[in-house]
Amino acid sequence: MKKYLDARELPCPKPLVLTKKLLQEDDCDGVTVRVDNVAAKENVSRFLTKQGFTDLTVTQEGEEFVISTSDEQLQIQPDEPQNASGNKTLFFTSNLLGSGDQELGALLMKGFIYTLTELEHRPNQLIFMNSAVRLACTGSQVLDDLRQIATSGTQLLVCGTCLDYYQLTEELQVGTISNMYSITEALLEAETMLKIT
Amino acid sequence: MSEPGAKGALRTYRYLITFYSTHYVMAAEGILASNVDPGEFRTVPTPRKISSECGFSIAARVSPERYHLEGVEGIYSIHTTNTKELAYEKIS
Repeated sequence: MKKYLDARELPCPKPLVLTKKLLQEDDCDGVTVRVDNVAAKENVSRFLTKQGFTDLTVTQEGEEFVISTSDEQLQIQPDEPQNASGNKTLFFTSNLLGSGDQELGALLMKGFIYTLTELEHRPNQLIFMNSAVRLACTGSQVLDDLRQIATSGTQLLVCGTCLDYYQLTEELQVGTISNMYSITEALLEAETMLKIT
Repeated sequence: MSEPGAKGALRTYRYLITFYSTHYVMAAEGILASNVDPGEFRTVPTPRKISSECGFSIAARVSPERYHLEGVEGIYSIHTTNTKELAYEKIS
């Protein structure tokens, strides 16, 4: 059954979250979502396409958008969702790996990020928050590895609030300064999100 | 011995030094840091194909022998095989 969602006047990323929930209902085989801003339209459309609804109809009515999955097209299962190259996001919240000795934590993080450069299937995104932003700044021992990861197509999002808090905004060497909206969306859109703690 | 997964970074180093424990790796990092340019060495997870008691090793461009590093388990030379894989040959 095709379901309807009125996602107007909802803060980001609510429209996306509710669309996701709706699709998870057993009897739902398509959706029509009404939103009132471009960002929500794009997020919801992108999500639906990723879910296999490649034939979307998007109509604009004033400042509102109605996104609708095709009645004829059945949901195409995304290609091998378990594939190692699927949309994986790694969420770093500390410049150290694990809790315990700081020196060991730094060594482990260095080894972990180096190992990412060696992998056949790299994650789509790395997100850095709190003290993890130090990894992407001047003086970090993993800068070369992160640069290599970035040039091979992995997106690096670095929390702007955190850079500002640690007074490191000018020191950022790799990655894109990002905000809570983009980071939350990226985390929710990831097929697999791994928090590196 | 080769490491099929090795993509690049190690190719630019000549030596791989394995240690008996992580503490020795950290001590060696300190000694190298105060003696050679930071770009001359780097700590890496020990490649899978090398059997070592410690999960971390140091790859170096300079010969490590003159720095009297403690706890060294083995020194390997790093080279690239015909099939462009990395290979490690134990030299001491």
